[in-house]
Amino acid sequence: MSPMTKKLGIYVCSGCGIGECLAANRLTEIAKREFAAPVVQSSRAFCLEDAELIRNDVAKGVVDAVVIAACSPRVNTDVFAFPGAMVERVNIREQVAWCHPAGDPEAQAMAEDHLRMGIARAAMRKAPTPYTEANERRVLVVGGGIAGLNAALHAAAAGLEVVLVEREARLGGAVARLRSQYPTRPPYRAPERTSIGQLIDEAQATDRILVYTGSRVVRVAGQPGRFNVTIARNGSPVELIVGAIVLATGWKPADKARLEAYGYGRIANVVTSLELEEMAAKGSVRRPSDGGPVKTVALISVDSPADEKQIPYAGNVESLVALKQAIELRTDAPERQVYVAYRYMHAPGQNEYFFKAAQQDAGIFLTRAAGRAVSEDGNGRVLVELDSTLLGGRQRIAVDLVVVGTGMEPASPEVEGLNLAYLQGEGMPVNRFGYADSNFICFPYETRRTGIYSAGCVRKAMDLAESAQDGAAAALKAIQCIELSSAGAAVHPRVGDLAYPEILTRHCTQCWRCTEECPFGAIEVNAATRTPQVNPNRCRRCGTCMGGCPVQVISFADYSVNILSSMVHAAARPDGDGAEPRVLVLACENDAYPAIDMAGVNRATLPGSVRIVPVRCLGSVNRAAVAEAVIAGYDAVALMGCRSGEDYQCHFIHGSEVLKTRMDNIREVIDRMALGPERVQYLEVAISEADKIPGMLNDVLAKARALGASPLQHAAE
Amino acid sequence: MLEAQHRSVHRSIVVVGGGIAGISAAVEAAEAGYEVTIVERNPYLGGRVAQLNKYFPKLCVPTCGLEINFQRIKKNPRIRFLTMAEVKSISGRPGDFDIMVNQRPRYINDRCTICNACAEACTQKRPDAYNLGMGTTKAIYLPHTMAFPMKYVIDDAACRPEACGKCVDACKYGAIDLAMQARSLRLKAGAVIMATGWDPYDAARIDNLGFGRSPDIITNVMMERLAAPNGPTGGRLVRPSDGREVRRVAFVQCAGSRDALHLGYCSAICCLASLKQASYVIERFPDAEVTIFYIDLRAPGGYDAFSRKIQASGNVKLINGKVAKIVETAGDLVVEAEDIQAQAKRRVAVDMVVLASGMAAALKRGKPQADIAFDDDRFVVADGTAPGIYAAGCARSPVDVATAVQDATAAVMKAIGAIQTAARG
Amino acid sequence: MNQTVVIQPDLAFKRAILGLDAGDFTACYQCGTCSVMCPISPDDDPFPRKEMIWTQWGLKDRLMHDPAIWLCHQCQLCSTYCPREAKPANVMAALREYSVAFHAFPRFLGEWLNKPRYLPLLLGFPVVVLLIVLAIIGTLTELPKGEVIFHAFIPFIYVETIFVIAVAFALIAGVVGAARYWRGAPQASDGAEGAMASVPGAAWTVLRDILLHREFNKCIEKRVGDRPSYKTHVPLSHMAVFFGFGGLFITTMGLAIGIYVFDFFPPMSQSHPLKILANVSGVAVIIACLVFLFRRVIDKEKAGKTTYNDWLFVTVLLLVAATGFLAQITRTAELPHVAYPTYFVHLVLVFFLLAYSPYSKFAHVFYRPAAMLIARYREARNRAAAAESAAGGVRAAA
Repeated sequence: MSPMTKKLGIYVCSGCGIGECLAANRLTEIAKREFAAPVVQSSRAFCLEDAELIRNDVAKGVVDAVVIAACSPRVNTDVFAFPGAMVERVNIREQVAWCHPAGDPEAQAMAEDHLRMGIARAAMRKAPTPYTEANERRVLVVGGGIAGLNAALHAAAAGLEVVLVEREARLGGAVARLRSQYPTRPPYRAPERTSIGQLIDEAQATDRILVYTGSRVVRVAGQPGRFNVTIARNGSPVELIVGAIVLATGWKPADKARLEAYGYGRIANVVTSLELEEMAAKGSVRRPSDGGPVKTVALISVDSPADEKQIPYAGNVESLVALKQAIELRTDAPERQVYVAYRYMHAPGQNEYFFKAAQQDAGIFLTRAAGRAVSEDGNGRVLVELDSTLLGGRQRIAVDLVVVGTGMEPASPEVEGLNLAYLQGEGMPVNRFGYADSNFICFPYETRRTGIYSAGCVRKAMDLAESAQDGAAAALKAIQCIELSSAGAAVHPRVGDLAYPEILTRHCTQCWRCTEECPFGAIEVNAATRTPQVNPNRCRRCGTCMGGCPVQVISFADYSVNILSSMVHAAARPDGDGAEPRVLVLACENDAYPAIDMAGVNRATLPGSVRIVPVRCLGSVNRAAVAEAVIAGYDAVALMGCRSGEDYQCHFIHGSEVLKTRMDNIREVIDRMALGPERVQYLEVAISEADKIPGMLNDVLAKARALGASPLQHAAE
Repeated sequence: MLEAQHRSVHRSIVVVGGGIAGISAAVEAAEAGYEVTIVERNPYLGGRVAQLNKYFPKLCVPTCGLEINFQRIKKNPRIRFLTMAEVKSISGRPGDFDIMVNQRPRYINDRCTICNACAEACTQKRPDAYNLGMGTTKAIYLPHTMAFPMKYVIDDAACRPEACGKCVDACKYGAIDLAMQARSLRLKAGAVIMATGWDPYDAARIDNLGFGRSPDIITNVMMERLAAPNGPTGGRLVRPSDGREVRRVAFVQCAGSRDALHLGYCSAICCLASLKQASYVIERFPDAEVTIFYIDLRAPGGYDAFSRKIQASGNVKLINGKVAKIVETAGDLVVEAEDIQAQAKRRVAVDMVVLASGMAAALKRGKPQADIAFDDDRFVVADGTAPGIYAAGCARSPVDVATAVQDATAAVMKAIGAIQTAARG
Repeated sequence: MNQTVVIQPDLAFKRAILGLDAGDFTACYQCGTCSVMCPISPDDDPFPRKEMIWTQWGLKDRLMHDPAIWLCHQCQLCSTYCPREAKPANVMAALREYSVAFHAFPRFLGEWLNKPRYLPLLLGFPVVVLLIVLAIIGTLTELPKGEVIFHAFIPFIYVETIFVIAVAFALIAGVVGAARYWRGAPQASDGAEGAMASVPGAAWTVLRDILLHREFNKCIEKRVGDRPSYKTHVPLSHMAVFFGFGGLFITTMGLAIGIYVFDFFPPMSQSHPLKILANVSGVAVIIACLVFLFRRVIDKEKAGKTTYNDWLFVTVLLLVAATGFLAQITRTAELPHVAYPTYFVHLVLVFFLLAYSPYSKFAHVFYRPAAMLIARYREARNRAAAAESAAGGVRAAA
């Protein structure tokens, strides 16, 4: 569509030192001359009273597309929001005026190009029409343990209908098998009864909660707001529709084979902490071998330093359960002696007081120990050899019973999963620990399956108190997802974004790369047409699909390869010989772009021959857009994004990752044009590395200089 | 009747504290459709994490997640926030709470465009609180380069309005109002979330560890600032005393934590923080020598992999034993501990000592007048606390960031539940 | 300690120590702060950290032969800075008290000294012995006439005989106990080549350190931190008692020599140097004891471990000196009815103090030097061993 169909209003601000550095009037010139914008205004500060001017223009209907050349789009978002008009921000403050000497012609040219690009984008953006078909408000909770019950009860308390599915015949999960839990309230010294019974009663008494015990989820299709779920209830299928899902299938004991080193399986009188817990819950603790009395017990943690893969064991839970069991074994039989050997005593927070309480029982003997060899002495006693203890050197104790840590691994998706009818597979994508993948520090619940939130030990090994919290938290996320989906709005991180990928299937070559590359499995293949089909509410709007499409048929109403290309072309041609190399910077708006802003805030000096275009995520950068830039005569293109790999930073999981693999492809294209692939460079930068920005950009420039001016510069003219 | 009850139920939440827990709570609640007001003590949001250089175990930067959350706040009209404000009292019941707030004057209005002209004109200096007193700022200052809201503020302890006023003349936008007064507001909310966070324990009180006696004995929070690109040294790891590069560093675990004389509980994050900070030293100096003195190396579960990764660098030595003595000799600091595995006293000479000083509940500074139950360490305890008031993050227990976020999200769910239950009457 | 040690925790022993006003050791989590804070704990094999966990694990045998428990001079810095408030100083004191009874010869006396119910018996013995003597002389029924002369009340020859026997017994018992303790001590038995040579040397340094109160002074000089330890009075007070006793010992000896060699007949004039020494010493002892008692009373639990055993010793000590003076005063004041009984009580208490010394807190005069000797000897041996290996290295190099 051409600019003319939009009523453009261009507002050039000269405040905050912009006026001192740049000739604002020349910017307004461009707006008038090159774009014949009906409304062109300037002000000393549009963010103050003069915001009214814009508001009035919009109200009068003379403007429906507002382009504001002023500060970074990252600031004054609220001030520059004008209902009824789309707003395009052009950053001439942080990234131009603040990082160039006053009156620098380079800076002026940069500002002018940024304005041109902004106007070009504004002209091409379309107002999105949200997808509002899916607005089911019911929540499905899978797993009736402590996390699941809490999720269900909290969602119900918030007024939602809940379906609670439990594999076993009765609710309660692993907790129901426990005798007690370690303390949760001051003075944090004595074990407490679990609240599981009461939770079960509440769940059964709440009419908003529909409980399916002895049931399994056999199929989940659809998307947030409208998941089509099939449940097998004692064999017979039940179909239902839910808006969001909480996955709380809990944990399973870790691979017992790894406990052999600690005598488990070899020696009858070696049991796991879970087995002890069950023994104690049932009644008295006796020797498995002969049912004889247990006068001495050794509780040993199995996190031997030799054992590299001990993640499921080396947790707070193992340490604290050992302390709890030690205390209870003593209260059961006051003459009993209990030994506790651990590599590190994990008693974080107030649990330290519980550790102290256990120590203060004279019948409990604790020590650190690295190695733990376990053998039998022939007459039913178990010998435990403890290496490098606090007592000095290696010690051996003879006991009636040895208890080893159980270890907690997330419930296996095959057995207890959701059986997602997703092209990308039926399980949740997991990280190296087997837990649902997410940016687990800042956004622990944002899984790669939108609308499905894992809670409790399936998400991370945790104790009862934490699982209860986790269940509540996941329920909130489910409610949130339902609220947003029903309005067709995106969830984290582009919360509220109404646009979603549209596929021009007519020209689709059915390579299905989009279905594979989508980090969230949002794109399926239409069974009839064999072409990709987007599930808008699964989509998180990163544009990875758009970036990957080899024939560029995927686009958003307000973000597309065409828009990027037109921005690229909107910039003025470099004036050829002698001029500084012209570099296009495509900067990820989540990390790289803010970092460049900060360089401006710090008043660093940036090269003036760069043109900076924010992109949603490097994953959304299509090779065609890059090629366009080169064709347009840019001497180099720099793609700035965040760290990829195991500890990835990308808010869309693997945007920079796929871009990196795509680079070869891009370079190949450039190479075919015989321009030297080095003209395209990929740079990783953290948002905090504002100090590195000038160096990075100058470096790109230097490389470009070395390559010489792009032969296409004059050709393009 | 039912009507009457409905009228008195507010579908809004007040979040006390704008740190990672408070911010997370606010955005999660707002995105679930509730009105939120954040009440923050500092002139900026972000709390303690805004002072961190990196997060463990990913060694990624806090600003990355903060940026997303700040964008979510900026774009969401349901969220408003008060900075330099503290809650004095909370009264009422689920669905209908009255929250009294005192707000100190910022002396800067919404017209500030962070052009920095005021700071250039200002002649008064103040210790840089954001950098824990390492370095100074002008009396009128931007809290830090990533500050949100990005507005200047005047420290009235350092400014001399009557005598000066240079900044007022320097400001082209009329953004400075020296007459601004402290004000108290009354907020209405259906529920309250206490996300008041933590303060670093005052290391000077650990008299045998010499904090304050040598400038090269610092705390782990100071270490974060030293390593941060926007810190007092621009991220160069040098000794506060003489600017010498710190290649040999000793980390003293449990400096205040797990200590009946100071903080009886374990601060839960210090071991991981020290392992993380070890990486700061190693990544800068290939020949770095880092020694971590510990009682128990608490890197549970998935964190164990991180702990192993750091140890694998080969520059990190772990010694099982708590440092009890630090003496200064010939420009070096000599830390002394019993190496328990070797059953011998160990003295290690280093350039700098980092005390892994623990987390103290921020509510120890003073608590609002409210029906809230505490344990002996001034952490909020759920039972005994009035329904409708929920604690999250380090207000409840010393926790890491991931747990604080989890906690905050859960607190929002409880708050919403309380409001909805009240609405149903 | 690289070979495996089979350990059998002795819960009874653990409980016994718990009972000796050292109950807090259970909270120890082995950080080693105590070992570092201790101004006299050696770099190699320091204390009292390991003693804490050995006690937690009831490892009686290790502890009963552990030199460290007697090397500790109770400055209490460990307790002052213990993050778990586990009071290592109290544990060390309790272990000493327990070990005195444990090594006691004959064993039953060790037990009696720690049980109030045996006190009458222990006091009764000297009382009876002395009464018998008085009965024989006849001064039991009627006190001697004329000016008060204790020699007339009970001739010195009797007193000397009784006390020579008592002290001889005490010495034997004490040495036997110390020997039992020494024998079990790990590093004492096995010696490297040429180590024996260092024993006299070690003995000399020990003697010097004791006379100069070197260890005590370290406790003050080498301390870190600003917290009060409530034990800063100890070095001075102990020195007063120590030399006070020395003084009294010398006067007694001097008197004996006077009587038997020069046929001197007491009482001496107050101006006599020996007399002056005696009075000064007596006063020193009294003042020191008062300080000890006073601190115990006002500092309460902060003063450290306080058991019957502690009270008994310091009280007896004080009373000995006090009665000594009272006897002298009442004698010069010519008050036979007070003087003679007081003298009698004085003798009983002195007997109690000396004869039972291997079982009371006084036993430290046997055990502490033994422990210090073991330690110094070990250091010397290690030095020798080091030297040897060095030499070996050199040879290897050559």
